[in-house]
Amino acid sequence: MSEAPALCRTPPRAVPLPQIPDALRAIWRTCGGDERSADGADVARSLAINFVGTAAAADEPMLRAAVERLQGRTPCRAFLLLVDDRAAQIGAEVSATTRLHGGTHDIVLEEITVRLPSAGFERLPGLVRPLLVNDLPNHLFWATAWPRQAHHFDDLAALCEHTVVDTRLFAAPALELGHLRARRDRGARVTDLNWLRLRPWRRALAEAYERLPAAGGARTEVRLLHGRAALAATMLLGEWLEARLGARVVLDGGGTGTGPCPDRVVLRTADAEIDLQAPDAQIVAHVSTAAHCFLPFQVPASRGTDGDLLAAAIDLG
Amino acid sequence: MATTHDAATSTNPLGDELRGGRTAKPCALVIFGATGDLTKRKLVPSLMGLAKDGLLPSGFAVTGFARRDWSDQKFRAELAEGVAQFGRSDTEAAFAAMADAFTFHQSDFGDAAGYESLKQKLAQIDRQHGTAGNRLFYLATPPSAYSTILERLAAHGLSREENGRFARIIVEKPFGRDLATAVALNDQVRQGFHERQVFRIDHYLGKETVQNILALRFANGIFEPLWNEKFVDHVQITVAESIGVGSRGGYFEESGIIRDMIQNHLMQVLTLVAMEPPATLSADGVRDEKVKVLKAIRSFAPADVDRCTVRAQYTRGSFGGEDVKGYREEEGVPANSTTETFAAARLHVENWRWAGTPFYLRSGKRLPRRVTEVAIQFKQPPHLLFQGGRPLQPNVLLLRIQPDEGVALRFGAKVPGPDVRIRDVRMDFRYGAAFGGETADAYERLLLDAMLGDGTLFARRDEVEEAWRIVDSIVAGWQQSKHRPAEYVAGTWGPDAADKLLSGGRQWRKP
Repeated sequence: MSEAPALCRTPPRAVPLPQIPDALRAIWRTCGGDERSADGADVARSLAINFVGTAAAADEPMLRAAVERLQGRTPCRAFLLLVDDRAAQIGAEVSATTRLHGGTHDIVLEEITVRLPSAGFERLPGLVRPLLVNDLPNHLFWATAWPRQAHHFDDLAALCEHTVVDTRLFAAPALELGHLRARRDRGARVTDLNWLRLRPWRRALAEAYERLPAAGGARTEVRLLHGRAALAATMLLGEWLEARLGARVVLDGGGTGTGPCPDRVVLRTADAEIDLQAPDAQIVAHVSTAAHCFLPFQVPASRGTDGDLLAAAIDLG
Repeated sequence: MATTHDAATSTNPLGDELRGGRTAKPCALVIFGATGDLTKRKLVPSLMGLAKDGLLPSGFAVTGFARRDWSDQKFRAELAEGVAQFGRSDTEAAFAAMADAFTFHQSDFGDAAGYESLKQKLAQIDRQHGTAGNRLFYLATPPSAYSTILERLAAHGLSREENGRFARIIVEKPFGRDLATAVALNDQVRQGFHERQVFRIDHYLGKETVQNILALRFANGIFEPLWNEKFVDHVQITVAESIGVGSRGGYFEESGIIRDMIQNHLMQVLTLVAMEPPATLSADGVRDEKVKVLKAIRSFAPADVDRCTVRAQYTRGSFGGEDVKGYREEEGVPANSTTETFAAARLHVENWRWAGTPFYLRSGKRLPRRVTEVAIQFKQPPHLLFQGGRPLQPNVLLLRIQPDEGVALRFGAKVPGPDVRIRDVRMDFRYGAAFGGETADAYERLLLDAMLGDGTLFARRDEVEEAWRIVDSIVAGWQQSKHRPAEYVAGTWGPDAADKLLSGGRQWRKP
């Protein structure tokens, strides 16, 4: 089995915005000279994507953790755009992470961190566009709430072929899921981490449904119990069940869970019932029909960290 | 490759969640020979890798079937140790969470009562773990036990598929030791199992880089137009091992490198390199094309074997700064052994695409490095403009299977300066650099595919038998030959005779 490779990050260096390209070239040397590093190992750059991530400054640790996970799978030039209204002006830092692979230092992450007040958002597309590495796929991770000015989202999304959002962070999902839908309808490629987060629930429902006899047009009713943080995910799951099963879906916000997914899903059709609950790390599924009461089965409730989900979203995109 | 859960999901309006995620139906896995190394080092750590990635079915259990008098606790303790030692990171927790799904069944492979009690045990496991009557049997035993186990499974109705339940069997190589024994084994398998129930495992096919051969060829527009006799001068496929036979001398003496490596791993890689594009990526779509490649390779006439193949044994030498024994000095090897530890062959795939393009295969032990690679060497340009018309180094597309998995292209570039001089440069794609992360073991993919019933990455009966037909003709020629195997010093790239296989200025690569 492969061992975890050794990673090495250069110290972040503050640079004036016009000097970012020079700083990126200097990083190449910092990582070990133009062709050979100080310890004699080759240096190579094997970037696979440009990654543009934007978040509120308070969410910087979340964004960094996601990028850290991403670099392990998809080496990238990453722009971390952090909105901080305490910042007086736009400032940038540049650093790189290398991974020792065989005898070679691979640059797996070239990181440009930009801190800006929200008033500076208009300048971001013009800042990022010339710094994107040519001929690589561009992915935007919108890791924050839906913006008051929608063109902020659209201007950054226009730089990229694929956008990843996390609707868990949306403040008014009832309205804002519609904004996303409209963009998808116009052909935008958008992946929602919240939808990926629901994958174990969708799989458990699908497996449970395998056990039901053909219902032959019977009415299906679904009750989704959720806590406050799970509203967006619960709505997504409800829309899916409506579309697939023609189900009448009731959302019940009386749940006590604090996670991003529903507390419980109860589906009734004809004489059958599916009841899914996730008291801890497992979703436990109970299925009963008029003829059978099946053994409960479990699936893991999580498919990894937000970083894992982001890496999966990039693969999908 | 097929991503089907089962036909039953076609009526499930949520069923694409099961298909898209390659989710297998619930099943019980029975491992015959479960106290052996394979279970501890490979099978269970791989299962836990699947569990970690959420790819095991919701109802799943494992029963170890072996002669030793082990308890469930002893079995679990051994497996836990194996997962800790050989598993991917964070798989120990996955094992701890489902340890009670692992049970041990003590029985002799030939004991009828052991199979009857296994049947009862599996019914109980169905009730306890929701495995729904689906069975996957894994023969992790010496081949000598296959026949008995197959016969008993069939006799006790364990190979029967009823009421939508599946019963599948995974067979480890070697699939026989020649064509006759392979046919006999396949016939025996067929008495209890249909071909679609049989999964002959060659772990090479589970390697990402081997699967990437198909992706490279058929997902890209630039390679396939060049992938034929018009542009390719020859192909070299190398599977080199740096270790000697060690304590396996007795086993190796019975097989030799041609049976141990060439009949399976090299032939499989050869078929993927040479095959035509399949109409679909279904199991039979791919395997039909692979079989056509093998059928296009003629058996060797005895008189041609000395001219088209080389066999050799390593002699005492120095390796990694230490003196190492020669093959005939190894434990369990007779002093007059003629078993080859190195073999090379020149094969021709006699079809429209490859007419006249030789495929050179070589494999050996105690070579300088452990490496598996495919080198596609291209023809020279028709008119040589540079360096006074002297031939330049040929372009090579290199598919590195292991280690340093990746693809490299070697081509000539102008050396900067006022003169026009050409130097070789290399464009390099490395899996580890481009995708990073932890790579799943080949067995993970293959176990999951077997649970899904997807046979694409498993050898079909006719593939195995065609490969044996070719290998048998070589072995027959060696047996009739007046010459003993050549010799090569341990730690070198094989005997001088191997160089003579390559004509027209061609040379073996030294990877």
